Amino acid sequence: MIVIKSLNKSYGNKIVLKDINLSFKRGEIVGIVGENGAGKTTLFKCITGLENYQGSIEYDNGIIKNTTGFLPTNPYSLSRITGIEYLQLLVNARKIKTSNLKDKNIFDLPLNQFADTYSNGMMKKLALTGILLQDKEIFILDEPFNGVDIHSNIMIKEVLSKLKELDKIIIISSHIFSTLNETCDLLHYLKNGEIIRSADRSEFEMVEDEMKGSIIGNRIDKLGLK
Amino acid sequence: MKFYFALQYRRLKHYLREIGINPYITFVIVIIVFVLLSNRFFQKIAYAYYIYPFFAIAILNSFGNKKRNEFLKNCFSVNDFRKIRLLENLLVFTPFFLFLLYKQQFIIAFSVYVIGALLSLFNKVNKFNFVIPTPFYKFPFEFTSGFRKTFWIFLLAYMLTYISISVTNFNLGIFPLIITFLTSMSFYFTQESIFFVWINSEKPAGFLWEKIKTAIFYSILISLPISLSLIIFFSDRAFIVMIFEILGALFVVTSLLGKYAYYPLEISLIPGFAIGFSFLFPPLLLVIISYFYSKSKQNLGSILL
Repeated sequence: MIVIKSLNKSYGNKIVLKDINLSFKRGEIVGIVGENGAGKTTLFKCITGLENYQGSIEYDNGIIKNTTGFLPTNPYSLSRITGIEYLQLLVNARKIKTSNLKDKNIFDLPLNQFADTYSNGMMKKLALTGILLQDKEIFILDEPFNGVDIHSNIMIKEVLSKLKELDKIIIISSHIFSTLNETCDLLHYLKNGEIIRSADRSEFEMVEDEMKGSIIGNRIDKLGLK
Repeated sequence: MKFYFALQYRRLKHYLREIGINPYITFVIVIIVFVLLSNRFFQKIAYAYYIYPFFAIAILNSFGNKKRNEFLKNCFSVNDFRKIRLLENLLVFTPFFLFLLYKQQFIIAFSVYVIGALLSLFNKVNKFNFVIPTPFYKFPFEFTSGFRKTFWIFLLAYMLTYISISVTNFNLGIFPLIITFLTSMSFYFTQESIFFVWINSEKPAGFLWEKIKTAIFYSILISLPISLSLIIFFSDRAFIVMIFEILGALFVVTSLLGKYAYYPLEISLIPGFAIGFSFLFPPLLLVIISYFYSKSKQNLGSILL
């Protein structure tokens, strides 16, 4: 279990996360939802240890960093490295002995091509394959459905339910409410760095309506579309 | 277009100020160092006139970057884009052109300018999608990626070694050996995203040790065809070749440790000068390596828990 208490984060005078208190259990898929700049990525970076913060993030099974697979919004690539070499780099980094990486290519990616020539969606699938091969306990996936095709979307949903079945801790973010609706057990709505609403499955529709109300309001009317 | 060049000049000044150097002093130092190094190069190396233009071509490499050119094409008309590329290339080639004129190598000097102009018509040569097989694939990424970007330098170095042997010029043979190690050093000049350090399960000491082992093994492997050929054909100077091999590997390790000592920031001015000075006084490397090692270990401690 991961327990976050009184987490605060700011860049200079700009407060990005305000008094976040959350917990993430095993075998549960938790969604973090919020508009751009709400603080989702920063929250993930704090959990993974990529950003410093104030407050505490505790994990009952060792150091979070060493058991976490993190999928960034825009996965990082290295120039002139093929897909297969990218996967090799990720498994080497965790000292994992894996035979024939090509057999693990669940997304049918062109692994012999340079990863820096991949589209955003392909890069996302490559990075996701990489972290799945790292044999982790915690999975933090920032916008895993962004830019991927419909087939991969289905595959990612299946992967998430498999991870849930394996009792992993899974935290995902998305702008696409419908995908979170289908996959998550619990949702936290992050706005301006604060968790303003948490909801279980039975309350998802209500959260969606609240979000629509809060985000859209009467803004479209201001355009005066005819 | 005028604004574009003014902006590049401002960017350069801003960058130099950011790393703590006065831009105007830097410009003067760069000119002096360029003249001194060029002079030294022409004194020490046979056939220097033919090798010298390749330095200018190497600098041009980044101007042909596909993404950069696509951005420029988006911003400017086709004519202005061509003018920008041409002017940039000629600006880079001018110091080399002037030095060759000073050396009274008029034909080569003008050829250099023509080559510069012609190269403005092409994008970066290594941006094709053909995957060059490398012996470094088992431990990506610095050597795998670096080799694919600079393989032509190694081809050139091996060719020069062959020429040095056929004209029995040992000094000319040492030059490609230096080039291979300098190129290997350059693989550690760019900072990878913090993610690629963070993913490692090692503690800082283990992480650095793995990196050092890979750097030494691969840099020696890549220079081996040159050093072995020199040892075979200039057996009376085998000892000198061995010294260069050891020093080369140490310089590559220095470059690696220098990167992680300041990671994720770029190496600052004083340590940069210290590395530069160690080229003149190699024993200094021992001090620099131990300093960079302890600083890297400390620095990576916050990322590799």
